[in-house]
Amino acid sequence: MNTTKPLPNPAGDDLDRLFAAYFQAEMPTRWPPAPRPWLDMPRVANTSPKTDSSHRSRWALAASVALLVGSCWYLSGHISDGQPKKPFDPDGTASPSVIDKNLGKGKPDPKAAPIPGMP
Amino acid sequence: MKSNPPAAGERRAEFAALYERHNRELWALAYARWMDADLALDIAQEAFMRLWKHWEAGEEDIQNPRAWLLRVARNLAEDYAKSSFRRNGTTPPQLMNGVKSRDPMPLESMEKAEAFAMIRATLEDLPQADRDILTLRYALEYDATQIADLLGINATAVHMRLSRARQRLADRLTAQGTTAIP
Repeated sequence: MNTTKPLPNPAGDDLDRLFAAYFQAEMPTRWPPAPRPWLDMPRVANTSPKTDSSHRSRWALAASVALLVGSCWYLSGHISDGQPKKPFDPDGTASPSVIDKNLGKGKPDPKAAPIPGMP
Repeated sequence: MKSNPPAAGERRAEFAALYERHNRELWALAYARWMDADLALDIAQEAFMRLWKHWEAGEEDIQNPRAWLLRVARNLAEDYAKSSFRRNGTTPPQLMNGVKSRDPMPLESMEKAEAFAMIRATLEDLPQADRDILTLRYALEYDATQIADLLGINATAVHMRLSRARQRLADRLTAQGTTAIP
């Protein structure tokens, strides 16, 4: 095989010119510029640092949860059975309303137990 | 073996250089597969996008980007055969009877357009290998060494295959009365 034989020349005979004209007409007249994927696609997560907005939203979420938990804890310490819980009163200086409320509780009813010798 | 990734600017420059060097080759192979210039452009662009994604994902180094791109473009062209677009037989609006509509069509151009449509139809009936080598020769004007390098064959085989492909195309066109540019 003679490898030095020239290839069919696009500018050779009529058929070669026809083929060349066809393929040249098919080729884009303007080749598009190189794509710039670094502008079009987000970077892969493990190669990019976390953004500021991501940090901010996470902090806001953490603060909200902390506030919610703190509020629940605070309210559970001060409200019981729908009534505000009163502080411990060891020396009896509690307000009259507490005394009135507890008055008579745990004591015998004077009418229920007759006193001997009395009518 | 992985090496340290290049800086962003360096990588972009490499990407642009690869595009300039190989974009037409990718187009030619995709075109030879489907005889559709616009589809071939899309396939070439997609192959480059995949190269970038591959780099961004930090996967294994590509030792031969040209071979990698050619392989991806070929696979994309084959995948197109399975796509719904192809299955449904939808014809791109810019194509009509195999003739591009972007050029004006005065009467004196009609014969040329018909001849080109006949060439297209004849090429579609030729084997894929024939279309590959004819496109590289007549569209890109590659010589035997360049074609051999791209197709992974030796120059002797290029001469033989090109000669046979050209003869097959010529015989069929001559039988239909097309022998020269009208």
